Amino acid sequence: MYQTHRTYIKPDMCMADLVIENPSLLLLLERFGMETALNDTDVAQLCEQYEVNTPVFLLLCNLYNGFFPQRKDINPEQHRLTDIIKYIKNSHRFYTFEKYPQIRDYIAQLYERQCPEDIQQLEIFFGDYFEEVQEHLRYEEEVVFPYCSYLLEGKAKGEINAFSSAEYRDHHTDIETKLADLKNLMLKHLSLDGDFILKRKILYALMELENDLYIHSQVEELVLLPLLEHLEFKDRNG
Amino acid sequence: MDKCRVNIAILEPSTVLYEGLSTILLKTHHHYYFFRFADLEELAVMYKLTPFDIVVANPCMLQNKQKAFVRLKKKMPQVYWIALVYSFYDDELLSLFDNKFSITEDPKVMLNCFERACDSCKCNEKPGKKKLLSERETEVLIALTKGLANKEIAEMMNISIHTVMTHRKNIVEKTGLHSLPALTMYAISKKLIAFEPGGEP
Repeated sequence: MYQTHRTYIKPDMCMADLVIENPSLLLLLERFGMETALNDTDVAQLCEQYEVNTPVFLLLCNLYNGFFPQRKDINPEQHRLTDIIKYIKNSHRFYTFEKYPQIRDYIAQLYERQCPEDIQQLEIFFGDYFEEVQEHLRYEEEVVFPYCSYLLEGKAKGEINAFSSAEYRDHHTDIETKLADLKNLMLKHLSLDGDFILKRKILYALMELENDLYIHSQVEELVLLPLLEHLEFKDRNG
Repeated sequence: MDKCRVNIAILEPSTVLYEGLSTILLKTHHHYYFFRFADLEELAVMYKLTPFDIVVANPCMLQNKQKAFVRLKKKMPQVYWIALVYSFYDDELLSLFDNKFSITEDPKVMLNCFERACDSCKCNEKPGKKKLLSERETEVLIALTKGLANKEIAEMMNISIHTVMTHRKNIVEKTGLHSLPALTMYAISKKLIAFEPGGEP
């Protein structure tokens, strides 16, 4: 979210340098449990050390750096589905247990100090929004992920398209629109006299969340869905 | 800090040219995002998900597809079209683009071309515009927060549904808010409507 120049990431590049260039990559490392000192480890070594599929890791790194994969670049021989799911599941944990509670706390702090009229509305709005997000996350965990496991185990025969990709995209658009609304309200319209520090904290948190949610939805639309379609095709055709 | 995020769609069959183009563009201070497409159809599908600001296209991808191209241009009114030229094309085809550059030109010429595109792109247009809602737009906003439908608003204000839609579009553009709860909060913070505790529309 802070960088203006981005590198197209390749296996022999030094991971620490890449993080310095784009700090958001720390989130990616976290999601694969890559928590030790990076030293001079390059991307490929790091993947080997943590048994993460290198093509998947590279694809995700490059998404964080603003390079979007094309449909034809995605294939199940190269990209391991379980690693994509691991990434998505851990992003859910980040939203549910870290980012949303953090923003909710900030709003609660505002509520204690400010003229409560606006803030009460803000709390309601955020509460409703969070509920909607959780519903989407639940949908993924209860419908999409089990479907993925079925596909991987070859048990999905006959069960074509347990979920619709159009519906999936609509969810994403909706979540992104509301988040953008929240950001615009905070930045442009609500006057929070004297609480500039808190306002900045909320906005930073919202922008970090927005950036990560965007990548999360791109991973699902540009990587997960094409992969599933490949697997479904293979499944149907023996 | 970046000025604004610019989504660039690239229709170019050569990977060498695509990589070169994106590398040169990434060296500027703009926040460019690249999307590469194999054909017009793919571009049209993605446009629904990610609205592009600029499309760079090799005219060879559009030859014999001029009708489809013109139709797509109409569907994507904000998009700035740049032709990436490295062989001869007839003027009729090139005239469909907003701008063009040849790969033999200095990269500075190309960057100028993008600067111009950014100037005309929507995110840079906004600051100059007047942001306050007009009297009629405020009326529509208040009616919306009361839960009235477009048809009811039209009848109440004695205007056509079409006009209501235009007002709504302007409200969204001016406030940057899309959802009804957010618009309600806006109306409360501007004291346009009274706050009713627990009275969520």
